[in-house]
Amino acid sequence: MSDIPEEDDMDEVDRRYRRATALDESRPGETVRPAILSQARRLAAERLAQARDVADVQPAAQHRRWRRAALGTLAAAVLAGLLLTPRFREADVAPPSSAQTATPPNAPTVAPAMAPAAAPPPAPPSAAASASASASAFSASVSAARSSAALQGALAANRGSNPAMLARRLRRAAADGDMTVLRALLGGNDVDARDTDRRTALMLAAANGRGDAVRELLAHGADPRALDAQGRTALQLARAAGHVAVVEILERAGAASGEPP
Amino acid sequence: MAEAADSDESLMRRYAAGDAAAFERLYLRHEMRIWRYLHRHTGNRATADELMQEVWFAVARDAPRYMPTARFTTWLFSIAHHRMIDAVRVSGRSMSLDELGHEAEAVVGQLTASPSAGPLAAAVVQDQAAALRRALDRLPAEQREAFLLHIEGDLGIEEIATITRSSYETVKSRLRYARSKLRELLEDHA
Repeated sequence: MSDIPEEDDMDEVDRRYRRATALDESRPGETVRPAILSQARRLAAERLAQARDVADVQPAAQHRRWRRAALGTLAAAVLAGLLLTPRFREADVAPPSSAQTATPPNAPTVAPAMAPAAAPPPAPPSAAASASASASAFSASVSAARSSAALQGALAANRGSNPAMLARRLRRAAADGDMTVLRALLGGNDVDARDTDRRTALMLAAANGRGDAVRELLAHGADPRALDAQGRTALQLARAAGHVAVVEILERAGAASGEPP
Repeated sequence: MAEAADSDESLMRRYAAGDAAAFERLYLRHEMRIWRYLHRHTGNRATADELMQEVWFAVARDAPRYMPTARFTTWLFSIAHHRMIDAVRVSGRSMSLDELGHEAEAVVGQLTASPSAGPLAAAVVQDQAAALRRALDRLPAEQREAFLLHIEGDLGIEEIATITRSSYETVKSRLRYARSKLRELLEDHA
């Protein structure tokens, strides 16, 4: 097409436009910039206030460190019990030997609920050997067992299987993004259990920017449209806190549909 | 993908989290480009001012929803484009410099030479600027739109096609014809 300019001509047109623009002294009206910036500042202040509200109702965010330590210690203690107690019990019923005289007569017994899903290996021939094997087995199996069904059973038994307490633990794990505990508690518990402010685990995970927890909770059927006592959804809480990735996850899950514009 | 601390996208994230200063930086960075786009398309200062506020209010309001899947400028000019289309629909007519009388002359007069240049140079530049304004105004609206999105928004053909909901080839053609027409008009003037 001969009437269409070549690239050099196009560049020349652009250059002439830019030269003229550089000399252009026209500006928006004097009130435009102040009006826009004032509105922007007002919205920013509102968002900060909302974020503070969210933070105020999330003690989990401030006590994350000690909670992790406490949960880790608890899990380690439970696992130690899981691995060591059956051996003592078996030692009680085994034929007496010189090595077994050191076994306490009232060694703790294992509770049915704490029976590990993955049973420990067969009892070793002596208590000394058992203790040694248990010590190494413990350290080797901690990481694997943390995500296993055994942990779920152990956590449930340790906390008395109180549904309200388990729901609270679930919400805290969601707020902390503690995926091991969260996964352990998700099966069989009410994923949408509310706290006193009617917040679900999904809301707390969203408000704290816990993307993995949000995905896990949604995969377990958490309701993304649930409202807290102030009428906010998990999506709104995530937006207010500026957690863009979580907002995207929730929007993909359909949390934005039906939301007021 | 790592973002520079002062990139448009990073500033938007910061503003969405409540940092008002980030918005101000962003606004100052793009203020004139958006305003020129609106002003040169509508040819009316008051309309451009009004649309300018609507565009930036929308940016401020929707900041938490902004996803940096595309460049910020693409999103920004997309908002500006749609606001302008809405305004044209409401006014029930296409806005053109031909309809603006004195204001058109005033706009042309603002494309003046630098103060340090002599009166003759100033007159020449002003004349060239007036020619450019007239040439822009004589473009069909779609071609002017494509050209302004490209030159003020620094947008590529694909981005313009997305914003104007046109095909790539259509936008490419509009841009080429716009430049061709501008070249002719400016050469006639030279």
